[in-house]
Amino acid sequence: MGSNPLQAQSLVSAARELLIPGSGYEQVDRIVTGLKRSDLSGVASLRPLRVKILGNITTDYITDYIRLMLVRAGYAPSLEAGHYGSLVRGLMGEVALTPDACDAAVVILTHRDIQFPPRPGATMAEARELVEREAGFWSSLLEHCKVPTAIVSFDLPPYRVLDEQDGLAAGGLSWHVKMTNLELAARLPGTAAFIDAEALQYRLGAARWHDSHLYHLCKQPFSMEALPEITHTIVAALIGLLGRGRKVLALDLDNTLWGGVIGDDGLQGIELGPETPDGEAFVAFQRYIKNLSQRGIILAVCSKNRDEVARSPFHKHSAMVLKEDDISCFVANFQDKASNLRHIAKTLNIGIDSIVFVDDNPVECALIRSELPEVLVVELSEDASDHIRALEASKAFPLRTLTSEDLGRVASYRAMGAVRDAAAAPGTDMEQFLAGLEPQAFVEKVDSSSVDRIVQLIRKTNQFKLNLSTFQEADIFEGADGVVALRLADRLQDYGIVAIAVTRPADGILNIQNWVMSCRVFGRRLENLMLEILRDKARQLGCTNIQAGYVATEKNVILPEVLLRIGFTAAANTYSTGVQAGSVEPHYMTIIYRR
Amino acid sequence: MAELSRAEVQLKLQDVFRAVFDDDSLVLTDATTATDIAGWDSLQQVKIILHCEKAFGIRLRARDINGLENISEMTDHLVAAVNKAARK
Repeated sequence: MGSNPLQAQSLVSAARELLIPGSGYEQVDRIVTGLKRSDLSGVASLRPLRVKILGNITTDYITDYIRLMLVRAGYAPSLEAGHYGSLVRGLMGEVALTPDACDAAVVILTHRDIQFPPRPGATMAEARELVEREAGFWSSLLEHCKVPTAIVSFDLPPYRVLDEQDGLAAGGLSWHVKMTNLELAARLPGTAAFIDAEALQYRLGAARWHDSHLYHLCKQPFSMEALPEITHTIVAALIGLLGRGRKVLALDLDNTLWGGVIGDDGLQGIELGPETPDGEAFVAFQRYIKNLSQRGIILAVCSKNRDEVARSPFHKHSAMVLKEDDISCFVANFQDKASNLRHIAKTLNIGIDSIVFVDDNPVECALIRSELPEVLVVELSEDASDHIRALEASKAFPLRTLTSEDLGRVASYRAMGAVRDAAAAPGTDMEQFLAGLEPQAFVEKVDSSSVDRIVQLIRKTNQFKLNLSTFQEADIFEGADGVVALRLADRLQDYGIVAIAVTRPADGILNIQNWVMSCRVFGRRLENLMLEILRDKARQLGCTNIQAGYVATEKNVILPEVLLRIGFTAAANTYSTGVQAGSVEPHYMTIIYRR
Repeated sequence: MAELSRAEVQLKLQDVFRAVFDDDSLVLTDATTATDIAGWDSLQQVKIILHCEKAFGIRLRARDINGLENISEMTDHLVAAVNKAARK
């Protein structure tokens, strides 16, 4: 059964069509059962992913649901779950959580795994000491997670010996759990992301999180009905760690950002502002979106309107929280929204699979789902007070740590727009323009403050990327001499680390193992500077040639052209160039070495 | 829930099995055992118990169910449990 490729393909489609949250448990469970029996290796659109799952619970059911969520995210997973009771031994090294053994891992901690519980009546000093031991114990175990690992933090127990004080006072187990989670969160290895179990418990409710009947039956503490939400959350975190979280929020306007239709109701007629309950809800939704943009999510508008009509509330309505400046790409016309989303992706230089599309109109949503299945569609209800929850429930924007690049991203997309517009405008003197930006390139040191970003950028970059090889923090430190990390800043802004080359000399050749550059700085000739630096490096090492092995993917098709332009020659997929300075276009950058 | 005949209970049990194994052609008889149905392992057993609890509006205990040898015994057990609940 189900090993038939056609059947597998239709199951994958059915899995993608499920609404999580939204579809009923029985419907979801049938597809979970089907996927379990199917061989997904023949489904062309899925990429393989090996995941290990560890927890001191029966992990079988949760594994089946993780499979569903990974299939929905575009993977053909092979999953390996640890046995009940094997968590600590597994983390101590019995289960290899290394890149040769698996691509990612999931660790589920529960309050039952607490090693140093306080006794009721413990003093504050004793209780703090126990938290310290607990966090120390687990953080040293979790150091073994050398692959991207999503860790569900300790949950609050279903009982409270100290009653209301259990979570508030030293000596309570709930207090111990909360404090341990906070302490552990600060000590996680760079490969790991924490999932806040308390927040999950809160969303699911106590009865679904702690199903004592089921725990008694089979040692799974959560009710079956809670599995979709739990695994959706786990897989969202994994996707974030794998660098495949979404980047752009494309917003409809009418009945999404305000109530009513601006083209019909006019500036005074739309509902927005504290005067009405709906108007207030739309303001709250806009404020939430503004916060997302401050967090680094790029905003776009995708509206069926005349452009000047669509923009008028942004200019003239006093209750608008979002300003025109917040929108990196504003598209209002009467073309179909699928074409417009493609245009937005092209303008922002991002993949179509980086987009989250938000609309209240079921027809538009259905169109995007069928035309652009890579886009994540969030369909809003008529009730504006539900908008924030609906968007958040999509879990489209997983976040591990907020980096300075995240915080500066929106500004840099705006700057990118300025560069693009200048390049496109007829009569622009490109050389004068680039020089006028006063660019500075910093050659960064590989250290604990930069390594996160280096690993992240190599993982996340799609377009300017030599091949699919990625590196762990340890690899980067080990090969630090061969790593060139460039930070770009100009008079508009600091872009952070945006280009990395990982190199290694062998037999007189400097091999570029991977080379990535953020799409935000395309057109700035940073690749020219990188080559200049690599040539210096090669000469210092006594190398006479530089070589780069290109592996084509769906997304890195631009690379050959760029490499040839800056002076590489190609023999099959190997690109090579000499170590003497060649004649390429000037980059106008001041170079600053950070040692 | 009202009292059910043995045949009614077994028909409902068949629906449970069809849902759990996602197979609408599955047929239960008194003689059916775990070895007759592909994939009927301890994990599916838990799902069968949960589905039965929902379908019949009763609570079941693992140790009562796990000792049962075939569908006949399972049906008898459910008939007793359902009708005990109905008389309450």
